Amino acid sequence: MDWDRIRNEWRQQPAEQGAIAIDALRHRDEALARQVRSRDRIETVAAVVVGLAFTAIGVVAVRAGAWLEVMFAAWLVAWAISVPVWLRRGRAPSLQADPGLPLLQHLQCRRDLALAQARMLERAWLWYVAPAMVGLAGMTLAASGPTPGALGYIGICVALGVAIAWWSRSVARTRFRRHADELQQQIETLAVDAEQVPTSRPSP
Amino acid sequence: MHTDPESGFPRMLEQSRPALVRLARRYAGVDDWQDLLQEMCLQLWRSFGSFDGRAQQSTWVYRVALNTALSHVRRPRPPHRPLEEIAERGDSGQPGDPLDVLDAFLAGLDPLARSVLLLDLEGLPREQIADVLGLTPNAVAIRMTRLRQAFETRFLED
Repeated sequence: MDWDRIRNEWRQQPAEQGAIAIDALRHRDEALARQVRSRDRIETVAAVVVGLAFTAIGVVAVRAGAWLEVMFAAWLVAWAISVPVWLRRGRAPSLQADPGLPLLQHLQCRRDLALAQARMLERAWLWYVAPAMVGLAGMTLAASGPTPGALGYIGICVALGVAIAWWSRSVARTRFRRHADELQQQIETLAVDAEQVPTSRPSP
Repeated sequence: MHTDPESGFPRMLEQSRPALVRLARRYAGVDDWQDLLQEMCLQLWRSFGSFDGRAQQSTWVYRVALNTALSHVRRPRPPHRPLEEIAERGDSGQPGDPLDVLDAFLAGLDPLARSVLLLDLEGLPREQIADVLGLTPNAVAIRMTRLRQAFETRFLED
């Protein structure tokens, strides 16, 4: 078998198809950047709306001298502000896998990114669900006392929070941890030969 | 060294296009290789400004193309035709054409082994293949030896 001949024929294959328009690339790049900006804007606007709502509740509570409600309202404002910060930390540019890295390093970066996203979702109960539950339950009890209506409302909130936490862990396990495992397998497959000594010299 | 996408990119892309087409066709199906090609070009476009010149430009292009291709193969796609079927009939209906046989062989390889063989077929020296993949030249040599032996055994000596 003449490998050099095969190689030459390989490189002489016609590549007339597959036109690439620079303008189309530029437009797609801009569209992707717009998507990212839009997502960030939605997260920020949601945080501001929730934050303003609880600020307003807090102001009313201050005027009424209901200091326990004020404390929980402040807690919920802080929570609303912290959510986009957590989300952006999970998508930190330092964790993005540079496509210009060597394949092995690129796979390692993608695995690290998948693990970071899995960890963020697994801890959603800590940074997303639990603070909201504490704030909402505290504010409801502070405002109404342990009435059946207040307890029912808190029960619904807790059920919703448990569902969100369960769903987050499920996504972390079935999507990100599984993806990280697949990447780890690829890394091991690729790296395994680096440990071995060649048994025969390759043909030139 | 940061590179201005507006000036150097079209020239680099034109030089790289045949290789990108060949890679895209071996990592995507008949229906979606053009999508993969566009994805590779988009990644090159987005990263071109941050290319720092520490590696050869061709090395960098192959890295971006392969990293993009390996992300692409994770997405659902139609299954390959069985290797035996392709090997028996050949894609062009000309049994024995080395490129048809090679295509069938490549289709049966896992994406990582395919990348080693594809880079060799593109004419990259061992050291540059190692640089693209992040392996040692020794590891690349071992893989190439195995791949060539498998290729010869399975298709040419039958």
